[in-house]
Amino acid sequence: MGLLTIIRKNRQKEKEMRILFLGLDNAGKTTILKKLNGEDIMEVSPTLGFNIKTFMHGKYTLNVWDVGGQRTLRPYWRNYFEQTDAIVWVVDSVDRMRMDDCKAELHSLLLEDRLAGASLLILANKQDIQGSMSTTEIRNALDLLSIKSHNWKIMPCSAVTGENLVEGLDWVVDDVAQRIYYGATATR
Amino acid sequence: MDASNKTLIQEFYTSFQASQSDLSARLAVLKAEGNAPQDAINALALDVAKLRKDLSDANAYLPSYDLRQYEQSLKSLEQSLDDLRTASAGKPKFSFKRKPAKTSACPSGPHPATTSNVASSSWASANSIVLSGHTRQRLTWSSVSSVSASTTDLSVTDLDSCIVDLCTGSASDAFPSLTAVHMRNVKNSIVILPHVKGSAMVHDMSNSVLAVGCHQFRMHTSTSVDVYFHIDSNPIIEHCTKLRFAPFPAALVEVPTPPAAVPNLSVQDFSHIRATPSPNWSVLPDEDYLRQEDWNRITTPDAGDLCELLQNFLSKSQA
Repeated sequence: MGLLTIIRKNRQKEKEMRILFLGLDNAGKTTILKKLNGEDIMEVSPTLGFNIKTFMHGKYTLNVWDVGGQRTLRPYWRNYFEQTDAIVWVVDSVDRMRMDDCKAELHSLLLEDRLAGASLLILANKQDIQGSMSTTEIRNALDLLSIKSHNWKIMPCSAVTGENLVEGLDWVVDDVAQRIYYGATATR
Repeated sequence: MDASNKTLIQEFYTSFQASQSDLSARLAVLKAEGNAPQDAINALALDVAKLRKDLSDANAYLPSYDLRQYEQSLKSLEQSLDDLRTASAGKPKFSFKRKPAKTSACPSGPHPATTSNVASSSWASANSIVLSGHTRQRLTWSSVSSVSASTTDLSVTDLDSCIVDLCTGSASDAFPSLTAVHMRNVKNSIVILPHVKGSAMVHDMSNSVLAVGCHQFRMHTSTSVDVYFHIDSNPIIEHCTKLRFAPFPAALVEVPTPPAAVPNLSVQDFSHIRATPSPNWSVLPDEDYLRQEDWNRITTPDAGDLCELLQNFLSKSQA
């Protein structure tokens, strides 16, 4: 193995991003990922533990970790925090009753040191359902405007129709890339 | 030291001063109240922790003298917070319990995190079907205010001793089809729902019978419920006891459900992640399974006294 191989490997690694999909149970995390990957979404079962998906998006390789949102599983989320470039927080826009729960989980997540600096995309899922909350309502319900520690954005989406899923990933990838490359040029 | 650092230091100084004076003002108020509410203390603790985090983030560019000063004032804040906490019965900093709608109106300064004490009820829905706050009533499509959309979601909350039947008539085009169901706090009731295209999510149901068809099913913190369902994936239960499961009764099928209606009874219990069978659920034994004539009686509007009906059928589920 020569120097060239090492450099190549390093370069390859630079193009990798680690993205964490989190959110309460029944939010649609797994369904979104399956839809993005072109798999059948009718066969999605509630996630026991976690799924890992790797796929190419533009020139980047995304390693996506989809961790189950059941209350019993939430304490284990922290096991996945290391080296996370971005968090995608998926919200069930129809679940009005648990918005407070959702807000508490999100804000306690953001206090985590190991997630400091990670980009945060909030996906307001299930917009295909008539009675769903709008992104403005969700932004207020989750008190997103108080988030100063992370670069965040909220987008409406639907895992069933596929609306805004690719656009969401675009934002995540752009935001992470900007940060990493900006950081690299600014400090050195 | 370059110019950008100087502005950073300047900015941090102002923001730190603002948060510090805000926090100490709130501390003083809580202290004066004597028995301070846990919620307010927790909110305060959260903000102090945030300030601590801001400080450690600013570590890189702050001069060491400033750093020591900030460190000291933050320490005294944390100290008085600790004192306050021990004074009003110590409780763990963070718990997963669902808090009741916050009523504490702690005087909040410029901190945005605390200005949002909005009760959860304000997220009321405009376009979905809601059945909420009924006792001893029969609820059908006619009790639902009409929704213009052809598909919508349903939320059922705070019912006691009710019969809910949204299955009868669900085949007609007059009523929207359901794409999601959320239920919370339903007691001593019989709830019959049609096939839901999306998921059903149930919290705090007790001593009841539930019939539903759905794509995904999750049930939390419920006890003594007989569930009749038609489901395409593995149902999940968490913090539940005394649940019994059975296939969706053929007598109720009005809408042709998707084929392959093989009852899937591999229930996943998150409160019992072991190889041994979960003690929290079982398959409903044949003798307790409600028959066609039972369902007919339940779904017929004038089939006698509601309380009698409920007593009759719910006693079976208590066996």
